[in-house]
Amino acid sequence: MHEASIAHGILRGALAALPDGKKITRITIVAGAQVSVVLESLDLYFQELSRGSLAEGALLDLQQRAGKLVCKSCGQIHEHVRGTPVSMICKTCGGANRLDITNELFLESMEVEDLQDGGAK
Amino acid sequence: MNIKIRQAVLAHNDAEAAENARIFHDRGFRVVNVMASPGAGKTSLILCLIDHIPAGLTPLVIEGDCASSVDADRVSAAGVGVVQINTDGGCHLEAGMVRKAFIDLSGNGPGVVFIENIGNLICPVEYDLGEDMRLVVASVPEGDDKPLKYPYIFAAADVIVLNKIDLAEHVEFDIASFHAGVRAVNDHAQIFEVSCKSGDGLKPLTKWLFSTD
Repeated sequence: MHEASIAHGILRGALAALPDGKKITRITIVAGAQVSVVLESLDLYFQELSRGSLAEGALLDLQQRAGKLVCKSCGQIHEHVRGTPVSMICKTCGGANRLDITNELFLESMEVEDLQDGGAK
Repeated sequence: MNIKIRQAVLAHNDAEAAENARIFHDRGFRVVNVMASPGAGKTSLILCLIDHIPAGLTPLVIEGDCASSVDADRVSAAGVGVVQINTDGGCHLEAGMVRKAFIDLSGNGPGVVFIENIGNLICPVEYDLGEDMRLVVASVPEGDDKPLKYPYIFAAADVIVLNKIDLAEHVEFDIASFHAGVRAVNDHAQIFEVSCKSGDGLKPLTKWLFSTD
């Protein structure tokens, strides 16, 4: 349920960047491979927290980056798909893999449109 | 109209964590964020580490739990300054909670603050608390496959302590497989095998922990 806290951070950051006279229709978030976020849960909390704000109803677009399995012997890189077991053995040479992961989590951008009838942030 | 933002989602927590680090260091404390699943032995390990803390260093503890003061009561009974945080269902500690707790702790450094995070192998890793070190505890009864099943917390660790090593032969725990799993996700973390019950392995851990700048 840490998605509640993340949803709050998304809402806070997006509203702070919102120009006057606009409302938010879509927010793009980029998450590194190390970040554990369940989009359905994140969206549930976001829709609840954003109710009555200029982000109410905005779509969340979560772009989760894949991890990389790097062979310590031959250097070959294979993609690690989240939710699948970490393969310790390199598919190319049979050497030992290392999971190369990142923990970034940031607001990339948002789509906004003109407010029709004013309103407050 | 598209607006670029490029800002950390947890920027507010990150800023509070940076402030925490300044406050900890101003009072002369190094801070260890202890993370593990429920029942791995976080509180037992903290108490063992405090037993071995060098003279002249003051230990303090911040306990995080969903509910109760069970762990804080154990720490307090050992004569150590402690504050309990109850998250009431929350799955991790955040920097702001830790700062409020630390302000309530009396005592000045030099010393070490042990933060016992909520028992959880997923959520706590996302939140910087302003710590100097991330210590992850794994315990033998959980199985030797945990680094592969929960790679992100093991990847974030500076030191990994395998607790309840005295039970390994009874539950067919493959120690070599555990080490290989850790190394698949983390090249740099120190790994120590200990038993808080028997005391085995604690001396090398404490020697390393308390000599690390």
